[in-house]
Order: sequence, then C-alpha cells, then structure tokens
Amino acid sequence: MRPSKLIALVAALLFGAAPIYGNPQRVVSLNLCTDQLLMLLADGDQIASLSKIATDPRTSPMAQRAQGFAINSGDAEEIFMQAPDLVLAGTYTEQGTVQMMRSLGITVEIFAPEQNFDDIRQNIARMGQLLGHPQRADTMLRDFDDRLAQLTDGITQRPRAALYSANGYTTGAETMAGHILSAAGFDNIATEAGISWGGTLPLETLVMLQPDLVITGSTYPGHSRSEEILRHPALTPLKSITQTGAKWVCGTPAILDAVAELQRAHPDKGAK
Amino acid sequence: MTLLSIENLSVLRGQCPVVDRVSLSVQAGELIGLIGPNGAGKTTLMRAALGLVAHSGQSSLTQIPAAERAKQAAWIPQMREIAWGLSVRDVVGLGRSPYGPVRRDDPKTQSALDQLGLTNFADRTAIHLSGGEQARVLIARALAQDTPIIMADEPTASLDPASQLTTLQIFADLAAQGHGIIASLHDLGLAARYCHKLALLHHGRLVAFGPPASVLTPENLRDVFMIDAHFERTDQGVIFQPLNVIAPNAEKGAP
Amino acid sequence: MRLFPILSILLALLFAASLLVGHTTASISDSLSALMTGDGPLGTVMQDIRLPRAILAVLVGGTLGLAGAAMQGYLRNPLAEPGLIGISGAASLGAVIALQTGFAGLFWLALPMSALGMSVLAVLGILALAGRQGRSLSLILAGIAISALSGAMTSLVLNLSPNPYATAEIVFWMMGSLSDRSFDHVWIALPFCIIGGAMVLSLGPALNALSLGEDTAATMGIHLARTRLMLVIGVAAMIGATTAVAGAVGFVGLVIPHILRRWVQARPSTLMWASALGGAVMILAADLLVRLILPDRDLKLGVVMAILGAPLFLHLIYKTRADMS
Repeated sequence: MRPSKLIALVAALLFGAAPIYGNPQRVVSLNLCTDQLLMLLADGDQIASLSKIATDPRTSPMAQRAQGFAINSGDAEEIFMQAPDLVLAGTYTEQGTVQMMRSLGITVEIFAPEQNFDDIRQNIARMGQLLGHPQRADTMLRDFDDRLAQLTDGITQRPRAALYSANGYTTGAETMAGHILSAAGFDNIATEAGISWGGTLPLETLVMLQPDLVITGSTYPGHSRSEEILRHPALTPLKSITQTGAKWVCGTPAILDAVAELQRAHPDKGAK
Repeated sequence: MTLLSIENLSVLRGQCPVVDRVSLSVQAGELIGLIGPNGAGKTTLMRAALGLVAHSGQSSLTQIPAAERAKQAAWIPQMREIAWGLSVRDVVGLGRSPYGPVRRDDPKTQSALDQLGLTNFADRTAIHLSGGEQARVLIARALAQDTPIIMADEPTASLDPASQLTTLQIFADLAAQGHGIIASLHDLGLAARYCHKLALLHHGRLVAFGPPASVLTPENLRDVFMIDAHFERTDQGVIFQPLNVIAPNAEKGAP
Repeated sequence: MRLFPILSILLALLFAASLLVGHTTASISDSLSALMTGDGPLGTVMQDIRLPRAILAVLVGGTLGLAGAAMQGYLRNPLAEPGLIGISGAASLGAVIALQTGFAGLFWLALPMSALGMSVLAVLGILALAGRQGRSLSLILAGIAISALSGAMTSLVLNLSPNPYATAEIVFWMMGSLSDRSFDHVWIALPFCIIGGAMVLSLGPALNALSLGEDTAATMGIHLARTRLMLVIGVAAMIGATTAVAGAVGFVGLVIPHILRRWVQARPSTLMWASALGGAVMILAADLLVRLILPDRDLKLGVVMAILGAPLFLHLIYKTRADMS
C-alpha cells in the first residue's frame, strides 16, 4: 500500500470510527432505494456517495439528480476511504461488506425493501430520524398521504389487470407492484390464479382469465427468449400497456407518480 | 468386338507416375488377369479406366457420360463393403440402380441370384453370410447391373480354395457368355489357369500383355516378381507354382 | 409393411393429444370447436398457443429424425446424428449471433439463414474432418470439436449481451424447448423444413447405392459431389431452421433410425421416411411428457431426450466396439 493511502487509512480508522454526535455528515448509500430517500431528505453536503445504480435511468427515478453526487462501487475498501459516519444498505446488500463495516466500527443501517405503503411511511420516517431531519420527513409523509387519498378518490370500477414480465412472471397483490396496481384502482389477476406474492402465470391461464389490461415492463436491449413471451400473438386480443419502470422499483413518493401514470388507463381516472 | 480400350493412360501422384502410359484393350469373351507386385498400379489403373481417378490419356469409358457409363461397366472393389443389414436380394438389386427405381421383383435381379447360386439365400441378411458367400453376392450385384464389362479388384482375396476356384470359374463362364472381364489377381496360378490373357504391370508400366505362357516367362518372373516358378501344361489345365525367391538380373538394375 | 400405418396413427393420436393438453382444462368437444372457430379465449389458446406448438413438434421431430437417417446413410455410420456431430450446436450459435446483433430483426429470413449458414459450415467441417470413410473415431472426434466450439461461442455471445436474461438462456439453446412458441416461429421454420426435407428425401437411391461404398455407387451412376451438396444444404436448412426456433434437441436422430432400421430391412431410403415419422412421434411424446411431468416449470425437451437417448447411445457405442474387435 502506498504511504499516502496508509496515512488516509489510519486517519479514517481514528476518526471514521467515532460515534455520531449530531447529524451524520458523511452518509454513504449502498442501495438504490436508500439512494432515493437520501437524496429526498438529506442536505446535499451530507451525502458522501450513492450506489452505482443510482444513475441508471431504467431503475432510478432520480437518475438525473444522482449525477451530481459521487458514486461508489460497493467495495468495502473504497467506502472505508470515504470515511463515512453512516452507511445505508438494503437487506440484500453484500453481507460480507456490511459485516466488515460494522467490525470496523461504522454504523450501518439496513432498510428492508418496501412491500406496501405502510413500509414506505416507516422508511421515510426512519430515514428522517437518522439524517436529523424529522420535520422534512413529516412534511413528506403528509404530502404523500394527501396525494394518495386524492389518487384513490373517485374510483367506482375496478378493472382486472395482470402484471406480466419476462418468462411469464407475475407479481401478486402482496407485493409493492401489487399495491401500486390496487391503489390505481385495478384488481390483480394473480389473486384469481392463486398467486399472492410472485410466480409464473402460464400464458394459457393468462389468456383464459381475460384480464381487462395487461401491464408489462419495457424490455432490455439485446434479445432474450424470456422476453419473447411478451410479444406472443396470443396477447394481441388483450389490451396491453408498457408501464413498469424506474418509478415502480423503490418505495418513495415517486411511487405515487407510478400510480398516477397507471391511472391514465383507468376508466374512472384517465382518458377513455 | 472391343468393349474397352485404354490408350496411354497415366495417373500421377505428385510427380510420381503410379500408372505410366498403359495401353490395352478388352475384347468380348475375354477374361483378362491384371497381375503385378504390390504397388504396381493395378487398382489405380482400373479405377482410372472407370473414371474414378483423374488421369491423362484415354479410356473409352470416360468419354461417355456417367449415366451411360454405369450401363457399360460394373466395378467390384476389393473392400467388400456392405454398410447395413440389407438382404441378399436388396444388395443384388442395387445393381439395377442405373436403370431407374429399383423394383423388388426385377427379373434381372432374380437371374443374377440364380446364376450365382444364391436363390436360396435371397432373403438372408448379406453381412451374416461367410466371406465366400458375400463375395458371390457382390458379383451377383455386378451381374445384375447388366453391363458388357466387369472389373474386379482382387476378387479372390481372403477366400478359401473352393471359393477362389468357384469365383474364377464364374468369371470364365461370364466371359464365355460374351462379357469382357478384367480381374486383378495375386495368385499367378489361378491367373494362369483361368485367364485368356494376362496384363503384367511393374511400377505402373505395362511390361507384358498376352496369353499366360507369353507373359509368365522366366525373365518376367525374375525381374518383376523376383521369383522362379514351375510352369506346366497338363490335361487338367495349366499348373503354375512359385518356387524360390531370386534376385533380379543385375543388368536390368535392381528395383 | 405395417410400420408406416402404425407410425401415422401414432402421429395423429399424439398430435391430437398435444392439442388437448395444457394448463387450461376444457372438454374435448369444446376444445375442438374452439380450435376450428378461434372464438373466445379458448379459441386463442387453441389456435395461437397449442396449435403452433404441436406443429413445431412435428417439424422439429420430423427433421431431426430425417436428418439423422440421412447423415447415417451418407456416412455409413450409425453414430452420425445432427446433435452429436455438432450441427445443432452450430445452428444455435448462428441463431444466437443473429438475435443478439439485431440482424434477426431486419427481415424474417435473417434468423433461419444465419442458423443455416453456421450449420453448413459445421456439416462441411464434419465431412472434411471425418475423412472419406467417415469412420467412427474421426467422426466422433470431429463432432466433439465442433460441438464444444459452438457451445463455448454461444455461451460467450450470450454473456456479452446487454440483456440480463440472455445469460441464463444457454440452457434453452443447448437443450431445446417448445414452450410459448407461436405461429411466427412456425412460418420461420416451415419453408426451410419443406425445401431441405425434399432435397434430402430425393437422395434415397443415392444413399441406397452408397451402402456398397463410394466407388461402387459412383460406377452405378451416382453423382457423389451432387449428393454431398444436396445433403449438406438440405440437412443444414432443416436443422438450422428448427434449432433457430426451438433450440438444439439431441438424440432423436440417433435413437429413431436405430430403432426403426430393422423394420425397414435396413434400406436407407425407406429409413429416411420412417425416421421422419418416428422423429415427429418421439418429439410429440416428449413435449407431452414435459407438460405432464412438471407443468409449472419449463422442463427442457433435451432432458427427456437425454434420459431416453443416453443409454441407447452407450449401447450403440458398446456394440460398435464389439463389432470392431
């Protein structure tokens, strides 16, 4: 190791391992969803770095904004050199990295993926606490609930919709995507097929259930046989739209944008 | 009547002539024995005459199109290859290929089977027969092809004495019926006994061509085969027996 | 000869069964009338999902059986088989390259032509490497070389794809599957199967004559170069097209001719027709099994084929060794 690096390492060990007094000043996020909440609730200079997916417009709703921040590769040594006083990770973040941080005395807060709106509310409140901005979190929560009420108001019909992705995979009512669908005023076909979380919905079953709407995600570039099913001629008689994208992935207020967009296909809310 | 004529036929492998300016002709009714040591070019000569190998010079067979040629000459290679468990009748019937779709009840197939004494074998699987019987099946196949000319490469190889005699007697009978037959043979005794003419090849050149007595001279035997032999005409036919290995004449140069 | 009527009846029965098996339960009469009219969701299921799948099973199985019988007849070797000697693997490579580079999307012929092109190269490679005689050892070695190379290159191309699903699809390409195929795939494959099949079937007399070796066949008027050309293009067309839409399915071309040979008195020409029928029967049966055993997972056709075919292949090798010694 070069001497300069060695000195920086020692400094980080001495100062980085200090407990938090006051608001965290150097927050590192290792997870896409914590990236979003961090950008929404923190002061700009509190953010040390974001995960590398934060700039991918396919999955990160705030990809543009994320370009203004430093990006980490998730590598323990690199994060360590940034001398964070708080590291935010998801439940699926590389366990080895998390253990290493903790054993070096860094505070790591794990955020579980949001499965429903209550999870979103909890995570927003907790993030506000951790960053030292509880009032910002409260405001965000109030706006969130107001807007959700507005979106779910005035729905009389509940058309039947299917969420369909590569390999015929469908997501059920218990998932976040399922809740988005429900908030937008649709009933989930997966429930009729006995799927509450996720599972394969055979093409034949999908056709026979005759959903009023089939919702697919945009396909990746390049080709895959898994995605060919989304273009199967058997789906032609059914009405399909391509929706799911970055706004569906994480539990942030952006999810309400997803609900609003989806509602454009709803008879009570959108254009006919 | 001349059935086949070869003029100045040469086959080159690289720079080396495997067949060197050979000229001969086959008349109807003749059984010609093609003899010579290993590597003399016997197989190559026959294959060139049939158009299976590129050559210079002329063969009357290669001047006609392949479809017509198939009705003029039949070939019995040394490798007795029958790839699948076909019945004897099916193998012999393949000889009718040049004449259109093969019919199971083709009379020429039946007559070939009869002529080779295979009538009772017709429905047996050819590859389950003995070596001598399989050899006869393949001759019957050539006969079914109904061609004036039949060429055979070492037809008596690996056969027991009775089969060897039978095979050559069949060829002699076919010649008597008007076919022209060339057969390459290692057994000089059989060649001397049954063939009307012998063609002696040495290093690709035709060294002698004529009745057995004129070809199997002591000089030729010494220079080409490096042997001496006992040659005798008896009332049972010609008897020829190699006796000793001897060196060729120093004047003519060792091969 | 009872073989052809029996195979035809089996084919018809399995085809009907294939149309009636799926995730949707409906009465036979409902299913059949939905098939005719195409009305309603059941009509969509019958006409757009089940019918193309059954037709593709016949095409895939028929061409594999036919190609296997033809290659064995030409090479005079019972071990010759498109999957074994790398032709299906090469076809997969051609298809994957066309799909991942976007070439396949340019015009409908692009995909099958790419697969066909690679297949032609593979067949030529096999003929060159296996030598004049097509003896077992050199044939199998050539096949291993071409299979291994194709498989590795296919895997590489898939790994380089920007699409995250592509990497996992090596399994589809190497083991084959008919699930969720549509008439789009039938139209891609059908013309090549018909033309290639016709080319190969016309070689019946030539393959019969070749039983006695190339020299004898040539002296009976068989045009060897033309026979080889028709065989290469015909086989490549059939295997290329079916592999492009269903992946590589092995063992059919090995197992079917081997079983049926004794029922056609070993005649190569008749065996080709019988193997086409028998191959279609076998793949229809396998595709039914795949849907009955694990309906919720896409069990690959190759798995069923391997279970049936591998023991038979070993038996063939053992027998070939015994014959040679």
